Amino acid sequence: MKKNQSPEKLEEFHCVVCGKPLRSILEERECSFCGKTEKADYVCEEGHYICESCRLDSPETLARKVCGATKETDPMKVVLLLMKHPALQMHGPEHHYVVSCALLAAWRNLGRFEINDTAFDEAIKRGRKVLLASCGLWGVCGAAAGVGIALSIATKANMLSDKERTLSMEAVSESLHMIAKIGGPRCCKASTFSAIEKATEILEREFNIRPPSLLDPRPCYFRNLNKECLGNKCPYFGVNNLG
Amino acid sequence: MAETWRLLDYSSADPKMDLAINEAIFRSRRENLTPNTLRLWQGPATGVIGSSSGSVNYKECRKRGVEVIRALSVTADLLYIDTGSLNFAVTANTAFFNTRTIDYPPVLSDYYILNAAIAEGLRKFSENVEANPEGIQINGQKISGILPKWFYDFLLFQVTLLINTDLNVYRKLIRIDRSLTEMPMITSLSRQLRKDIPLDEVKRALIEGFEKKLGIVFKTEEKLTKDEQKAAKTLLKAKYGLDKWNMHGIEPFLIGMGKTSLEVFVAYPPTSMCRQLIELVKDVTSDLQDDVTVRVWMRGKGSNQHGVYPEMSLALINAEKCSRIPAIIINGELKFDKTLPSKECLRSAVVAALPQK
Repeated sequence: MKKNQSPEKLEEFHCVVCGKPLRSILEERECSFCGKTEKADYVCEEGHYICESCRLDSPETLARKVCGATKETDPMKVVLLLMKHPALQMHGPEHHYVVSCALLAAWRNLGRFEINDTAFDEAIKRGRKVLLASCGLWGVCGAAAGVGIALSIATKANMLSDKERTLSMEAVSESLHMIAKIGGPRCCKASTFSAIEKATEILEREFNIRPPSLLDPRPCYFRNLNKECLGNKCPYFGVNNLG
Repeated sequence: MAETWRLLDYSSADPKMDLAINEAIFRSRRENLTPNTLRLWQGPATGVIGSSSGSVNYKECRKRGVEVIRALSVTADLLYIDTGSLNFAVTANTAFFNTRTIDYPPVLSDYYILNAAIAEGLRKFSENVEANPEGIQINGQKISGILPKWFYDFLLFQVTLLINTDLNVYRKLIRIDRSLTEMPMITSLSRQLRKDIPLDEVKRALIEGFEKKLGIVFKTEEKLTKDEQKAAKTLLKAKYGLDKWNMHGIEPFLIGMGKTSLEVFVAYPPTSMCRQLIELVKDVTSDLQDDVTVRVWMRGKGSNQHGVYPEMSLALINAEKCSRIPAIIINGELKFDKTLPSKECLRSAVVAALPQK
């Protein structure tokens, strides 16, 4: 079979963005992740398509590409899109840098900070150093650290800085507090939601910047995929299903 | 009504084959092809190691012509068996034990109840026989070695009882550093009772002990099933007969009843390259379906893509973590990734992984 010939129907596939069934087509479509246009093979009724390159990408490449290309100002929408990609596992250290990249992308698009594409490389480089399971082992959730990384990059903070350094540390501290209150076992999705919500709150408080909208992630898209889901104990589980 | 277990009293005269048979029975139970089983066997002088071989005196083993083979086990217990030892393997879905272990301490309760069943039988010979989760003791000294292995809820519990075993040879072949362990001294039932004990009597006592303690009845079978026989032969060729396993603990990732495993790791939904790879694998293995199991794993779709008890190799898990996609993993070894191999290359890799006929 040559590339872009009609794909054989192996089984019924579902859209990773919205969950609706995919159908085979042979038309040009824009990738819902990176924005590239190419001849598509599977598209859902909502028009979502993932290009061949994005389907094979590592989480790092994907975060870099998606955050570099997006025009979105809502960091929750960016992070949700990234987390729905099959390359991101239910839990894992990639969530540490995904938080930073999504925040940096949205903040860049809000026009307040000078953020170029190298910022995503830097966020990934720093986020990679936060270990898997650091929440339980260090008492520092990587998603909370991701908020600090994003703020440090945006404000160009380092260890010699004054207010910027303080702000980054306070942001991590506040995010950590919010994540810690959820309880355990850990959920990288819930921690990511909390980190994004807290970072957005801090952005408004400290810089008077507010994205036009912030998506409410409730009810959690991932709740049926998490073997250790906290259920109703989790603030993101969703009020619609309490009964 | 008491549950019926299968009883097999069958020895092959080759300890390597005997361990292969135990694994074949374990696989058969996992696949729900056979009921819970107690298999009894005896063999010539052999060193049996679990997950570690650190304390085996290989020089002495070579001098005495004693082979050292590795059993499937999560523990590092070391065993010496000879014609005076009675070996057996319990293969069970541990859901069976759930209601029966309520009165046992929760940690290792499945081991405990099985050892209690053994002790129940051996009390026919001495009231001083006691069980704990680690094994069987008489007068405070150990007369058993256990090698357990789990697959989800399924347990393979391989045991050697030192009945008339030559303890002098045992101590020469297996060094136990007592400064590092609180393990009790090794003894044998015959040494403690100061008489030889016919193994047939011990077998009968054991069977009674299991029936009484577990509330089961045994149905005796003379032979392994055909599937088990085939799997045992495959496992002997591909694993238990090889130094790679016995010396270094490296085993092929065989699937189900010991078939060669071909894991195809692709994107979700599959890209054109992934689809070509799936077609290529189908083409290359079309005449090998009796020997090869092909499983297509899609990234991000979780471990339940192939049943409740999924068998995934470590290489597949690593491929997912490291985004090595698409990938082909044969018997647990990553063979091709991020590329479409030629038909000839793939065919020769698959054929090379088949156990030699």
